[in-house]
Amino acid sequence: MKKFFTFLFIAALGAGGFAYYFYQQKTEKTTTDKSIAVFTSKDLLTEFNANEAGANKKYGDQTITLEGTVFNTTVSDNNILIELEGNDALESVICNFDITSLPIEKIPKIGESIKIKGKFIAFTIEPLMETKTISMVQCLII
Amino acid sequence: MIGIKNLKLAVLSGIALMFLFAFSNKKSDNSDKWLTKTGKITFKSTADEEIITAVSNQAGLVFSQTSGNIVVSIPIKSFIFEKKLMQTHFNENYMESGKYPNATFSGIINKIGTINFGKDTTYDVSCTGQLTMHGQTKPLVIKGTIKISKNANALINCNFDVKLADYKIDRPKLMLKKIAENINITLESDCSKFAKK
Repeated sequence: MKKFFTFLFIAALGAGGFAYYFYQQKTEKTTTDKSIAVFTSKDLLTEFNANEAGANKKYGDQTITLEGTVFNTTVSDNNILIELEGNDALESVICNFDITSLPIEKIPKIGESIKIKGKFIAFTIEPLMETKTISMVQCLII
Repeated sequence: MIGIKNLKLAVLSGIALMFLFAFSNKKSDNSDKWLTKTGKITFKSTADEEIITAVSNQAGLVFSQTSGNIVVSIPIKSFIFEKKLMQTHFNENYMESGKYPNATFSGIINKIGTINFGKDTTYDVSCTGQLTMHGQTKPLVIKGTIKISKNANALINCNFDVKLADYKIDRPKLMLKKIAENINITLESDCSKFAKK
């Protein structure tokens, strides 16, 4: 009986520790998944323009590699946003970098060509101007 | 008689051309628009037992300085939480971001004509519109400020509360002390005047 309660106590302690570990786990700063496709930012936008539902299904929450020209950069608290050019002034890809994966001194310059890996999360068409935006998170420059 | 017919034809052709011109330019004329694709939205839930915050830097905001029309859209999955489990629960259990990927506010900036976009000044403004989130659309009035600066920037700040029940976002009984009934939303958007590349 004593053995049983000892086992129960250890099991409960283990389960509690396991639950605590999962609860305290931090959100990933960069994706560690393998990239499933390589595109230019313009080609990816072209694919979404041609078949939004199909592209969403294909790339939703997936890690992809993108090559593109830097159009704009923004530093916001612990995040750096790099905007890659689309096919016209209304289109772009926004890539979110945590400051620990892209120090401020290493932010690429506007007009520079870069290659990034990140997780695709959304394609949005805003109705007032019809701007088109692809949103990426957990990015890193490769 | 032929003269009158020709005159009618000329007038009708003129009207048709005016319509054609107006509609063909409707989409491409964005010279009065201001926008950002990197607006910051913070949400804060202050409950008895826990304070939860998340931030997104990927809010798209567009407004027209002539009509006052404004649209803010944000991909739900762009909200970043400190804890991974909270982010997963937020997307899967509460916001159902796979089914409802964006939250959108669409409305009008009241009395936009009183704003001088050529002068460094901060204006108190209010917006009347509708917020669509989690598949539900509700009317919303938001108060905030627009700070105009000479280098063609418009900094928009606002703060408002949303009631989760209004958007059919359920709080399980076990979480009533951990997730607040009303969530505080803060928006900071540094908009630039649209310029074609």
